[in-house]
Amino acid sequence: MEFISDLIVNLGLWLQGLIASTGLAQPWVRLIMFSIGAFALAIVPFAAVIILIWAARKLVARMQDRLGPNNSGPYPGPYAIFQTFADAIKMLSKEDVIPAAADHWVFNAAPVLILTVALLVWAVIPLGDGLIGADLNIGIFYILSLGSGSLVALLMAGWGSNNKYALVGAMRAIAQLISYEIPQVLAVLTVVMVAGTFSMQGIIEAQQIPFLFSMPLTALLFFISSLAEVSRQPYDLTEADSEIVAGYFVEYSGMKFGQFYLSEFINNFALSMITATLFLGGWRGPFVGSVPVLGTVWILIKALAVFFVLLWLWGTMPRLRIDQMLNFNWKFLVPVSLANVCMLAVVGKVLPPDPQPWVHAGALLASNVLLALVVLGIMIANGRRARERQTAVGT
Amino acid sequence: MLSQFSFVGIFLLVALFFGVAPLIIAFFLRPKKPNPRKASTYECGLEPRGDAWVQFKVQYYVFGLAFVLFDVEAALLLPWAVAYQALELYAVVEAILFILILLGGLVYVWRKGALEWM
Repeated sequence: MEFISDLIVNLGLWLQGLIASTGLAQPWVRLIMFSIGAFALAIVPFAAVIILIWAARKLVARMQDRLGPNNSGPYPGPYAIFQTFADAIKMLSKEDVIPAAADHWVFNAAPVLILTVALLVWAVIPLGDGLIGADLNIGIFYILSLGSGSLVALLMAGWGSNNKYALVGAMRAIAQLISYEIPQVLAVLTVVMVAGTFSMQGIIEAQQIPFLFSMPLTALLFFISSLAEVSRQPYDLTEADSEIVAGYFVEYSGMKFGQFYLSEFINNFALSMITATLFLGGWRGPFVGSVPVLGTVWILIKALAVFFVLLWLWGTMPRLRIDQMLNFNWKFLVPVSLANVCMLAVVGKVLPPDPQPWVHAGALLASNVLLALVVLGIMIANGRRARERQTAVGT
Repeated sequence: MLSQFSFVGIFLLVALFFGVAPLIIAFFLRPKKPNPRKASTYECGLEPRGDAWVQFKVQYYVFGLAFVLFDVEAALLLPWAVAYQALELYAVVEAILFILILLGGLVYVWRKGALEWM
């Protein structure tokens, strides 16, 4: 029972003892341990994504009244569960076509860079109580800064392809990514303000009451802007199949296309884990104190719930136009998130020092709801004015 | 903390390996039969006309400028947010004044009509 309750940490300690018993110096033992840990950690998103691609295809198919991969037909395995493996083998064995007009170095480096950046995020994502790659004191800031890395990779793919569709897609992707980074950073800012740290484990420990309940508006702002950051519907105009074919990766074939596809799903699942960490209390849950390994189960359940919402939007949302996308960000999300930061900053300082957790959470919730009501009121008034103007023109 | 950062360094190398590994595996499995038709740029089956390396719509640049304005703001506000719990009320008020000044920038861009997509 002792062993089961803290399975992975104990496994690590046992391995460390095994390596140390060979008589190596301490720094080398640490280096070997870190390398093994890094490999194990890098396999986690791949393993998760192989299941999630299958689940996503099944669920989205059901939402759109299709069957998706299923028992009948040529799909491998019961319920077509090995479909993703079959796809991977197919992509590996496809010819790699490089357009003659492309800039070869930039063209080939882009898929490697985008997959590397997608994996790097996982270094600071907490997977359980005390189970994290590196509990950096700048954890969430590190994740935000990696966002620019994928941006560079997208521009490399779009520009290096020397294809007009790819260029349009890359330009749209950059306009979208840089625009929605601002509300995302501001939403994270409020979380950091309340938690008092950048560290991912620190943010989880600060959540006696999950931040979703004390700051629902912030959670919504973060989720919407992150949706745009990972180009998931309704923000998939960067790779709109029906107008610009596939956007920035139109020229890629074989495994290079596979790398773009993989990194997209890895990013989606990383977003789910980050949302679970920042707003749903991460690995916190009943019985974690006595059985730490349950924390991994809790955070996975929470992350999968967020992932399901992503799929739900994927299955139901129409695509936005670029002007709608930019207007919604600059004329709505940015002002609202700035107001949110100011409001929460004032509320936190007006309260008496060291308030009860539920008093603090209640005050934050009240300010959030108040701001949401004010924003709603302005929107309703604006809509009414626009309708009146329209009828005046009509008559 | 230094050992944590060294883990991120090792993880960077591992991630790079995982980024390149699929291409190396594919290199041994895939066929290679290039021909000029295959290597031509995709343009819905037509002969491509001209390069894609052209001067692009300038409005993206305007949004880029607006982004720089707010990204610098975020970079300046993040240390403030971490220290927030130790700060006095006047520091919070000053940060809000800073945000309001930048909001002035957004209002200016908005009134100028630079946020209208044309």
